[in-house]
Amino acid sequence: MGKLIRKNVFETNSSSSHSLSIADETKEFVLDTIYPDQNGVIELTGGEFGWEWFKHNDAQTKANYAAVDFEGNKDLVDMLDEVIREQTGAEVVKHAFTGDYDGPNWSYIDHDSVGLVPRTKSELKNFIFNKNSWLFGSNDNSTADPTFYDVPEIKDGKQILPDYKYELTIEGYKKSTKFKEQPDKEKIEEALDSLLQGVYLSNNGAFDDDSSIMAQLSRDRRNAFEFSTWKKPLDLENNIAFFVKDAWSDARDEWKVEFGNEDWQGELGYKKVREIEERLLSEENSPYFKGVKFYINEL
Amino acid sequence: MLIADYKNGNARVKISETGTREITFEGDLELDYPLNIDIRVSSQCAFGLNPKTGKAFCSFCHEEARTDGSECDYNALMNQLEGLPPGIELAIGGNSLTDNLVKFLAWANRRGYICNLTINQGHVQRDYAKLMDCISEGYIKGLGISYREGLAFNVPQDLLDYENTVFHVIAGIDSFVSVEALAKQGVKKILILGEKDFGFNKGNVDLSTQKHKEWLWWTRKLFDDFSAVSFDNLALEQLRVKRFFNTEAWSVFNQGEHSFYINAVEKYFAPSSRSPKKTKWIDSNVLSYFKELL
Repeated sequence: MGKLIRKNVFETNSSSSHSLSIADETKEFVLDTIYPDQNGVIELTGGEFGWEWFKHNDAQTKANYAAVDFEGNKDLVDMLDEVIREQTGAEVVKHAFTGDYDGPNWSYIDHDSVGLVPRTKSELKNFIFNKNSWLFGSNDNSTADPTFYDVPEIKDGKQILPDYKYELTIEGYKKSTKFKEQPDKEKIEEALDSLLQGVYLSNNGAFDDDSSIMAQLSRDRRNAFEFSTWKKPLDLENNIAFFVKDAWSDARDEWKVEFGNEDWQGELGYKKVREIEERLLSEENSPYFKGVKFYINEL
Repeated sequence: MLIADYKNGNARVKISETGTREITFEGDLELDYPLNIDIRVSSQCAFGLNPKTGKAFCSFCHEEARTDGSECDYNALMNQLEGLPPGIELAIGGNSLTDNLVKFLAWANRRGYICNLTINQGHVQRDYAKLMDCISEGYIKGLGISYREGLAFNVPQDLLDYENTVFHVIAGIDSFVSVEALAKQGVKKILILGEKDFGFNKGNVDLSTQKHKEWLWWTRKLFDDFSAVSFDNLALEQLRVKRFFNTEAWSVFNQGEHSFYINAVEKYFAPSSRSPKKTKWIDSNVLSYFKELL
């Protein structure tokens, strides 16, 4: 069935008709743009697209990403400039960045991501200006939040948000995450990993996720507990995640008293420290572990 | 709330009290009647050409309005509109809200036509009381106000607050910056018109000026500034608005042309106000003229 929609205006023009009307609820249909300056110039300043997790759907960032990706390939750069000029009306597209660390607007893309930008004109236009096209940046050194790749989809005049059915919350901690389906053990571990990376638990059970330089310098890491499934797996029967305190330092202190003069590389050296550490960690009610209750609630 | 729900050819047309119009149809759209008709009811305007000075405040007026212009014969216009079904929109360019025009609006309202009136910003204060009466009586649904950058902005708050008020601006005649500033003055909806190479403005359109370029570069910003932004066909072309849509969205929101123009003062029909193809009333009527256009 065909459909024509005019939103929120009457036909007031007596000289030629309203041919198109965009109202609040239809704005999501509109493609993004990049605004030229008063001289018709668009300056692409590149960017540092490194290992961090990121996602963007704005035209400016995606165009910069494409520019950095295409740098050095004249044909691709020309195509990019043409796409931008056609879409924005710009007269000039300047590439104002450099691959030299000491140069202005030093720009790079992590090697794993190079070459992902579309190579045809229509696909490139869609990639840059369609807000349903997302640029994701990731790495394999850390875990993404389960919701990281969930983005709103604009379809049939509506913005369709992800339909989450379960939420993971942690007792005493403000952040949570969600799932579209009931999570299995692996998903729960990934979610906790993502939520609790860089989060510390104090002796009195307070969470500390301050990642500022000052916090990192002043934190007493020897007495702070960190989330770890490696040293103590999740207790999925009782929904408990474990935070672990540094036992190595205490083990080494204990080793110094009895074996302090032994050769560090020998049997009574660091291997002994490891043994002591393992004993400290495996003691019943070990003070090196703190359990935190988590919940998977149906939404 | 729906104020119109009617069948037109193979289409069902629904119009709500906020002006939203939804047309649904099977196959290709085939209309028996125009969806709306643009009507000029007067050639008199205080901002038009003054024959004594040879100058016009709106020197770009494509309608070639004059300070000594005249009003149409409303009876003849009413006869022309006979036979149209309720729900059709009449877009009336009225430079002055005369008693005769008010009577015509009342007649059209009784017939179930949706009347939308556009007046010049400079006439709003003068006709304010009558405008408010016409709105409260339901004679006028949509109110167009032709913005003029050079005039003091003294539009009464009541009219700014009226949900169906739309400011008409001309891309390139009005500066982009001044139109963008209207949002801060309380304007919620705008209609962007292209600059017509017609009437007093014949031969004056130059899309390469800085003023025109700024519209081309920055129009997209207005979508964020106003609650509704509309374009006429000429503006769609001059500002290359299609670039902001994918094919699917464009097909839903681009209304196309399903209207025509009546110059009731000079008694002729034309495909649009800027078309030189004029058909005299004596040679046709509303329904047969619309069929001829298809």
